[in-house]
Amino acid sequence: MESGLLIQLIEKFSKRRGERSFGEKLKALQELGFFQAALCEQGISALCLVLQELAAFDAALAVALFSHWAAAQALRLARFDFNSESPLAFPAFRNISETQDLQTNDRDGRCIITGKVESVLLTGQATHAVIANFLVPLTGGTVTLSAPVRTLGIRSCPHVDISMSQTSGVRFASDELFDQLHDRMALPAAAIALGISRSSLDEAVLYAKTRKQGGKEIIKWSEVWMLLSQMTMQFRTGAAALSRVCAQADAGEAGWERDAAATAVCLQELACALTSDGIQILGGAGYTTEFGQEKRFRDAFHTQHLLGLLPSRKRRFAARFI
Amino acid sequence: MASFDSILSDTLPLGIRAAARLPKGLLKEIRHAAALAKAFNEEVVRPQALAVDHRIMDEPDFLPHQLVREANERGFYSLWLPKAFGGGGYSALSMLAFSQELATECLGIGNLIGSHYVGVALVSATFNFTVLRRLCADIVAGEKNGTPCLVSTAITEPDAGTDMEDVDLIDRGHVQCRAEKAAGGYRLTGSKIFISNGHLSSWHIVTGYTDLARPSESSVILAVKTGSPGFSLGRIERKLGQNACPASVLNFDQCFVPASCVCLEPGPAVAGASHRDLCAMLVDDVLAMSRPGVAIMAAGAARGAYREALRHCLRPQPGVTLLANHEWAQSLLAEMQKNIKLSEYCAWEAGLHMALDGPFRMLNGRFVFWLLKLLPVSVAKLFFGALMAHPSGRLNMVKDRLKLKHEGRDRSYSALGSLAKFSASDLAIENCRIALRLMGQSGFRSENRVEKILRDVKLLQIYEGTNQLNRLNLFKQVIGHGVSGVSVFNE
Ligand SMILES: Cc1cc2nc3c(=O)[nH]c(=O)nc-3n(C[C@H](O)[C@H](O)[C@H](O)COP(=O)(O)OP(=O)(O)OC[C@H]3O[C@@H](n4cnc5c(N)ncnc54)[C@H](O)[C@@H]3O)c2cc1C
Repeated sequence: MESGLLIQLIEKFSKRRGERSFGEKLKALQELGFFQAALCEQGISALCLVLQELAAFDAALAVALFSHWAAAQALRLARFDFNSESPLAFPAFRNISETQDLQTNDRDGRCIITGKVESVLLTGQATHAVIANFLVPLTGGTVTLSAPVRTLGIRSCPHVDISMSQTSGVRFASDELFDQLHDRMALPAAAIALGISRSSLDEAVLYAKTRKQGGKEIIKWSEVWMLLSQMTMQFRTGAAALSRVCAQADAGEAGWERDAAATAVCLQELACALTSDGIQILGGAGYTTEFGQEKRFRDAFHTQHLLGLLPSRKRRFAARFI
Repeated sequence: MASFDSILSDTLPLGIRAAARLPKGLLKEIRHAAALAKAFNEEVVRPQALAVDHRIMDEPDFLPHQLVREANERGFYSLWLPKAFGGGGYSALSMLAFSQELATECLGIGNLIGSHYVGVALVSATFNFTVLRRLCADIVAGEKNGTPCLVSTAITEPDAGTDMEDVDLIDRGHVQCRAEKAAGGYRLTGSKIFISNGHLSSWHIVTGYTDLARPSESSVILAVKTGSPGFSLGRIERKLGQNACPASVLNFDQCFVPASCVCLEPGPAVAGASHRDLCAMLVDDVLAMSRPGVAIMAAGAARGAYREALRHCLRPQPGVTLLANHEWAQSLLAEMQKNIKLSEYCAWEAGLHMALDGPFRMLNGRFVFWLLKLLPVSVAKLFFGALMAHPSGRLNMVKDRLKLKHEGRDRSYSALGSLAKFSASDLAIENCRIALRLMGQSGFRSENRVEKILRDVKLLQIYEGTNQLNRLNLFKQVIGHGVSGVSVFNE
């Protein structure tokens, strides 16, 4: 699919967005071809645009797609031939290279895995999971899936704990995969953060223009417009950085990986602050579920962990780039 | 008396001044209150907080009656009522210790108790001890017969939130709750929103206005009993956190409130103070009493987030260095401790200021404190009850309150209350942010509690005036006060 087409499709999808439940929306995305493995070959800019658009609408959808794309990307980077009809499960909030809690034993081209992996995103009818550099079947008696865990955000997308006991999987890549995958998925993670920030900002501006206190629209109180200005400037700076680094990445410019990692961490942190201010502008109404600000706040704090613990990513950044 | 400025420039914290003035027995009482909360936390709150939070997420109209009953059985709804009215006579300072401890486990459950006392404080601040005595009698009876009697505070309206928090704003706002004078009382019509514990309360302390165009001059404060004709409960808000404490819509349709339940109404000047002045002082006092409470709850929640983060950092994981042994993590944990301590300091400073310089300061004087402690309840009720309910009692209280105004002490404790509220709630959010960063994906799992603390804490930046409004109040009360050419809310 061409990137232009991809964006057209997401626009089309977004127009019909109010009509369906999360499951139905996911199915619609699937039917439109967003879960095709080949999509990962698209330029990063296109993927980021799609994810930003989706995240602005519902971050859970964006995260579902992100985790599938990350898993498919891992297989693609390793040139591992595996074509799944259904979405792939992926522990999107774990450090990609984390394997210390798994016991593995390579035998006859297979890998026998025992251990527990927490908070794996189980999108749709996933039959396989990509965990670090292992492809693991989710069917069969050796794998147990927990009931969905309760989480801060991204609630409509089930997070499950996967327990493996002598499960036969495949080690499809060497450890070198991790840095590559991290580089490739950093900007999409940033795009999700930016999409959430955008919708929180839009809602805040809209509310501030209509809500009156002290005899005038609250946007006319300088404390309010100062905050809105700051939020807008932060968002615009983030958007500029994201599009610049996406272009760098698509052009394969030297150093794009460093800038991608930095942009992701900064935008994820920014989304937390911005969505918190997004509630604040609405006052008590922001604290209720009515305007969606509380959901954006939860989703921002939740998705800051996409690709793993932020301090670990900073440490990794220091080790690789400083 | 010291102005806020001199408190800032005086390097001697209030705590030290207080040490010399407060009765020793108060410290014992404070420790006892904290111990009560600790036991309640261990036996009730920690085992139930998550389950209640989840239940309400699944069934948003579920009401935690059982928790309220448990608190009622332990006497928590009357412990801080005046002994003269049958309560435990505990001081507001010990309430801070109690709230702080409860907040380490669950802010929502903390507010099941804390919000009740905001309603009581509102009636107290009107100095209408006749209504207060009646409320207290119901609360104490409710404790004896196992039917909890809670009090809610109903000020916020659909079109007036921040405007209700400052007398300089209210006349420009769009208030709708009309109180019409009727034979033998008032008729109340309108709606209140976001009322904490609305669905659980037997009494609601409601603000209404006889002239909607000039609310600052026509405020009426009424005690409305659940079940009164014309009063109905509306929806329960679906919200981010503090699920245990419902936020309700209250509707009034020509609801008749008898004169015996009118706490304050427009009338001639009292001791030279107009009704508007009295109402302005009242709003400031109630907020100045409740904001240190919000601040101390923030400190408690910040401690809760720290505890969970530390627990996580000390949990051994196979094959990796203990998180607590990383220098960066150690530094973040230290930062969290700093945030807790700063919040505690400013909340206690604000609380002490209120106790030493506020309208009920005489209760913390050594003589009255010990007298009330030692007198049997029956004697206290007979003697002080009659004294307080006498009309001259109110007049003397108003006169004394005006003295605070003339000396500028009220601006000082109001400012410190705001400072404590916005500082501590911001720091509590910061602690949740750090905890989540330290914990990674463990942090967002509900079972590990920090995500709930974050959701709960966010409300502390909003109610009792948004943090933005509180910053402006600090400016108004002390920084800009009396400076020529400077005004607030006039841009
Ligand atoms: C869960 C919950 C429980 C509550 N419990 C109670 C209760 O028990 N009793 C009760 O009476 N109320 C209660 N409240 C209401 C609470 O006090 C108000 O939400 C708060 O005062 C803010 O008012 P608002 O929500 O109308 O926001 P608004 O006043 O609409 O404010 C929106 C934004 O505009 C800003 N703003 C408004 N005016 C100005 C100005 N003049 N200058 C600069 N900025 C301004 C605010 O800072 C905010 O950022 C509760 C609220 C919640 C959410």
